[in-house]
Amino acid sequence: MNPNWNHIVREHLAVLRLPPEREIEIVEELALHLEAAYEAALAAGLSEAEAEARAMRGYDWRLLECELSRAERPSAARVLQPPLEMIERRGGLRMGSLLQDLRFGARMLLKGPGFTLIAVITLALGIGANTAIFSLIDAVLLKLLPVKDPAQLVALSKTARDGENRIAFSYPLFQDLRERNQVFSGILAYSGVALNLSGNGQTERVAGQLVSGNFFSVLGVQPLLGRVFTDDDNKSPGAHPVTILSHSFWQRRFAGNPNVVGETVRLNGYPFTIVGVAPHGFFGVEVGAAPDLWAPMMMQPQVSGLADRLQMRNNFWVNLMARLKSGVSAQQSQAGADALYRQINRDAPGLSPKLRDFLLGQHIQLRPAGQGLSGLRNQFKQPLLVLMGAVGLVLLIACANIANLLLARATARQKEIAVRLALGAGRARLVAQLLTESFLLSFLGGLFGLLFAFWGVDFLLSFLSQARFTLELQPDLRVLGFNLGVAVLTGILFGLAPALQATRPNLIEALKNEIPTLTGAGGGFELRKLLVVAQVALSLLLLIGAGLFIRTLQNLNGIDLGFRADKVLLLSMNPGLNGYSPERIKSFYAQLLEGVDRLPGVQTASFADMPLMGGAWVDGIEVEGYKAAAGQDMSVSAKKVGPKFFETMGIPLLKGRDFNVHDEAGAPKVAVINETLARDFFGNDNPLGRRIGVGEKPEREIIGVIKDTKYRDLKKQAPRTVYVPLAQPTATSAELTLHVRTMGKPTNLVDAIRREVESLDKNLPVYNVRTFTDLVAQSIYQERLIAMLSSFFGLLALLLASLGLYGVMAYLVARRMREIGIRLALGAQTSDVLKLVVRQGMGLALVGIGLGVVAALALTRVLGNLLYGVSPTDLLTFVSIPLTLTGVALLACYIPARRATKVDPLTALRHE
Amino acid sequence: MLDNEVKRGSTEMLILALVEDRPRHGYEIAKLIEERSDGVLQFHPASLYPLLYRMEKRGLIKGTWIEKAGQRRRRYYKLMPEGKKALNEQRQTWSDFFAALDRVAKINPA
Repeated sequence: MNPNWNHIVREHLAVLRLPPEREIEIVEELALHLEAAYEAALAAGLSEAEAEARAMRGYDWRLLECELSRAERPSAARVLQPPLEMIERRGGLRMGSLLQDLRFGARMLLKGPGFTLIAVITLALGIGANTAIFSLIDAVLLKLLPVKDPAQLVALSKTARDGENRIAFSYPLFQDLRERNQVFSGILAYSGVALNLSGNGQTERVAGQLVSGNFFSVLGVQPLLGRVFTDDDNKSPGAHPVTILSHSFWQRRFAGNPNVVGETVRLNGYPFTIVGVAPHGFFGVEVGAAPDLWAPMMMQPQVSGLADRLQMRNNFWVNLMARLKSGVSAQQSQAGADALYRQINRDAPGLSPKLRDFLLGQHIQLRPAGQGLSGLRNQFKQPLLVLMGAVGLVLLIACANIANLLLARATARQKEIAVRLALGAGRARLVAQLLTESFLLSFLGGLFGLLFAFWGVDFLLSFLSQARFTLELQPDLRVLGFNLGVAVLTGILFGLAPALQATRPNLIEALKNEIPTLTGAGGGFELRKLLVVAQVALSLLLLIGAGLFIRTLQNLNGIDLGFRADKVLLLSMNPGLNGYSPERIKSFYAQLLEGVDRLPGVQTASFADMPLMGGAWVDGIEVEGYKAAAGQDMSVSAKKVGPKFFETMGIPLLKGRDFNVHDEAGAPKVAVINETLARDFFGNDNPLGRRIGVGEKPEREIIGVIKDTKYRDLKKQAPRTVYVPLAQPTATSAELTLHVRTMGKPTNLVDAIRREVESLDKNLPVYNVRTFTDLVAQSIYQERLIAMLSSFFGLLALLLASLGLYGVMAYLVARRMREIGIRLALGAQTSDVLKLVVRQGMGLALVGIGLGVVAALALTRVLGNLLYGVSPTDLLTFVSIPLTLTGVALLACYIPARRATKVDPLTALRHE
Repeated sequence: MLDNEVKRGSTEMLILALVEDRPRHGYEIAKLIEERSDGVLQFHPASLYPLLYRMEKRGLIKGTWIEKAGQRRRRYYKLMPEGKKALNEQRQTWSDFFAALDRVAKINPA
């Protein structure tokens, strides 16, 4: 019996949902074909089964479905794959066509080198900026620590009754927690320490970290060379002079010497043996604070130059991190650790009742620490997200620009495309071809963008390092993945619309090379106008953001610091780390000051425990005869300074006298206070001669009042500040910063001053050498960074948007050449033509500007606390930026408009 | 070895040529191409009909159901004036092309 061909065919075509009468026809026709083939095979002597197989052999049902669904769709003019197949080539089409597309795409890009160059550079900037900011966001906000199971790590802190969250614990408490807890599989301690490292003749200051013996094993970090610490390395105080180097320090200082294990280095003058090198990428547990080396906690008295804190329960200096036991929830662990913490504090010997009470009021808190701990994160989260938004906008504008260029090119290629369509190329095939070109562009952009990103990251890191953050940033797969993802997305974004548009031309018109004239446009052109409007709106948004940041920076730069920051050089040193006695420290500094004072070019010089804007200690003040109200804030900032400090810094003395060499350790205690402090505690009374105490009895006589100066944060009011002589009440601090006011350029004196230090001790590192201007600039590096980057991106956006506008207008003028010619021939003035063109362009620009202003009004409030002294809806910015943009847009329209007026009516009329 | 581009351009011409002297049905067209090319050119049946439908939509050919005595009805395709024009143009192009090939590379298309 013959197979039921109708049934077989109908089954296969069901998915197409053709109109019923059409389906009947097609089914009948195909069934007839199959039947004919079947009968021919039977006639040739084949069995029924063989004949059926023969008839079906040629049928590729999927291909048929595919082809039919295309052929039957309402719009015509599509012909698909070559229906004629060489028998031996069957199936080899797809891969071949991709390669063909790539080759063809590359040829087309090479044919328009100018276009390709502009597109690739635009994309490289856009994608590169996104990649650079992303790699920072990744490192600071997203990435997990490079340790085993980072999700199990928690950081310990304690919340006190006063609501403050503290992260420092005493070492004995750590030991108790470690021995007695049931909820952690491990708990580790670490604490940062600054070290003078000497060896083979060079001394330098390095960042060290003291860690518990189980530090590396709890984190699950294996050494690259040698070994990591064990508990045996941290058994008794001073007994384990061993150290592990970080990978980058090993590279930098030891040039990656593979035989470094076993070598000896001196840390603060104490010999340590290098036992290992940490693996590449491991930077400890704090993002932004990569130590150069680690040493056991038990070496604290030897390296810190401070008292032995290992036994002190009232000295809080170690940070704790723990690994949760599997199967124990974070809540259970927190409850367990808290109960144990209070138990330990109840039992602990030798605590004063006041301290015990204070400690018993605290509760342990566990925070997830898989991403490490970081001050960097809090500080940079908002700026980074704002910048990410900005570079995202830039990329969008870049995409709009390239889409625009591609649309213009598509118009130029309309005939080519129409011919190919007519010759039987499928639309999908052509879209694939055009998209291949877009992807080629976006991948090239991505590739060069990666280069830009590397430079960008280097630049950002150098900025961060000014702010004392050390970030280990290596390009990794995540960043490459992001880069690739952005490139692909970009390719689709700017390529798809033009490709779809281009393959939908009116065949007949295109083939006849007829370009619509008086109507001006066509669908593709509407899209281009829309893109220009979007570009203008987005760039206005960016520029307004940049404007607000620039105003912020201006405001900060214009702040009265209260001192003269120019021509002051700062240098820090710490002879205490080289094992000097207090007497020797004192005479060292005295000799140094004498030497520096004698140097030509030095006006005055003085010392302070910390630079004016570099910090201060905070303590409670007691004022003789002043009764503090309940709950009154009695905290003040305090600084130790040498004689002539106020003169050196150019701080005006309002009353009384400066310190002098007689304000010695044994002499009567004296203090100089600032205006704010005088006002807060003495009102209109004369504070001179009154007595105060800072964390001490009120026995210190006020001998002077100075003008307020900024402290650390330029945005904040000056805090109450007390200045005391370096040597009072106890000996001179070991670490001091030399402040030198120079007559010429401060940096010219660096070498001479270094030589002075070397003449006294050639093994004493001088560090933090900088001018005061730099220090002030550093204090607002975040604002400078944002203002600089946002202006850069804003200007880039402006450039792209005006190029886009120019391109569209130039194109428009070219298309309307004939019309313009007719107008001129009929007596139109050039000014009319000028107006005609400019009006059309400015219409687009003004719509974009309007939209941009609305968007900016809605969005700038997220910038809120990144701004200073300027409101998010600052009138000046919201007026000047749109005006500027209008001016630029006018120029972008004027150039093509002028060209239009130069049209010779006769030529234009002949123009096709 | 025939290039895709060449095949692509030639398919429609072959069909137009086959229906030039008289209307034919699909199976006949496929068979004729295969036979006359000694099996070098083979139609994918799955491509043939969609192509015929498209050519019909473009007005190059026209299909009509014709019932003959003692047979099931079949759909015959005949050449339309548009198709005739296209065929002539393509013939001219190919003939010029082959002539050029022959002059350059001594290829005799016949």
